[in-house]
Amino acid sequence: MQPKKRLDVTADACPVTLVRALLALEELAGGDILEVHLAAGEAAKNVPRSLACGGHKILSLDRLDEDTYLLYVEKCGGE
Amino acid sequence: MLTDEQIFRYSRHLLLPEIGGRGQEKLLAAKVLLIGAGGLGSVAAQYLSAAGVGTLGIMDPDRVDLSNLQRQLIHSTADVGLLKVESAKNKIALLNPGVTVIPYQYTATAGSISQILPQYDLVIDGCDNFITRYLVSDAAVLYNKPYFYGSVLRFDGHASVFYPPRAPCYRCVFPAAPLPGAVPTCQEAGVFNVVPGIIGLIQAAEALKWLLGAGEPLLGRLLVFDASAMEFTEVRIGRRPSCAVCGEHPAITELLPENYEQPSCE
Repeated sequence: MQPKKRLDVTADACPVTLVRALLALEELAGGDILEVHLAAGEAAKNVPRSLACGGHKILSLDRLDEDTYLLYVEKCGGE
Repeated sequence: MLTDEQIFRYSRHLLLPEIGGRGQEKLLAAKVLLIGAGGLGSVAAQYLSAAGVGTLGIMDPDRVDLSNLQRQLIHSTADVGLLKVESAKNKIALLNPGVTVIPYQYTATAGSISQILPQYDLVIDGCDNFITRYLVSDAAVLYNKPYFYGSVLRFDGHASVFYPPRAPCYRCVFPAAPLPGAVPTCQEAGVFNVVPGIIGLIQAAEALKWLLGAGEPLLGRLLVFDASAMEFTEVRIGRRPSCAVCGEHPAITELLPENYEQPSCE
């Protein structure tokens, strides 16, 4: 699972977290993978859900440490 | 690339799949010409600015009058006596300093429109007289610019997007101006203040959609609004082969000043 791009939005609040993830996905092709570092709490809960609602595929969401989650999302439109 | 400030400012648009980062970049690069900073232009100017349209040209010869404030909400009581283009520019600078406003403090003429319109992507008509409207409409056809039409009187309003050959032009639907005095002006007949607000907002919506390439434009359809009954009626409109400007044998092939002379007084 090789991400095409990495993004850290741990310093951002919602919905800018989601906006940054969407902007990053726009730059990728369908099927490409984006790695996102998210703050635990609201962002880790909402961003994956919203991306899934938008048709993108959540590959994994893992807790890295107490404050951070690591999300792998595949851009929709691939295969 | 959008700046952090832009990502915050436009976040509610960036979340929309129809807009996103690419759409926002299109808006930031767009150049829109507004004819009139009155009732229609007030609303269109504010929403286009808030959306981040990069360059707004605003043409209006008038100064802010106390009687304008009932419906021309870009101007304030303290602006009475200022040029409308200056007042509008000041307000837009407060709303969104990222927007470049180019003021044209004069009446649209054949000469000025031929110079100015080609520099813009589209034109929004918020003028208050038929001479200017025909001039702007004819210029839009000759320079191949989409023309976002709106007009209001009393409790009624119209809106459409004119763009031959995909859709009719204004002259296809209204071949000639009514005789002077045949149709009252807002000054004579009055205007319910929300009507220019609603129609100006429809013009702004259509212009933004056009710039984004989103949705279905209001082409070939005349939207007729009656605030009294609170009804929108859609009238299908088609091109007129005998149209003087976009027809098969057009009589109007250039903007001749003598065809668009303003009467010396109201």
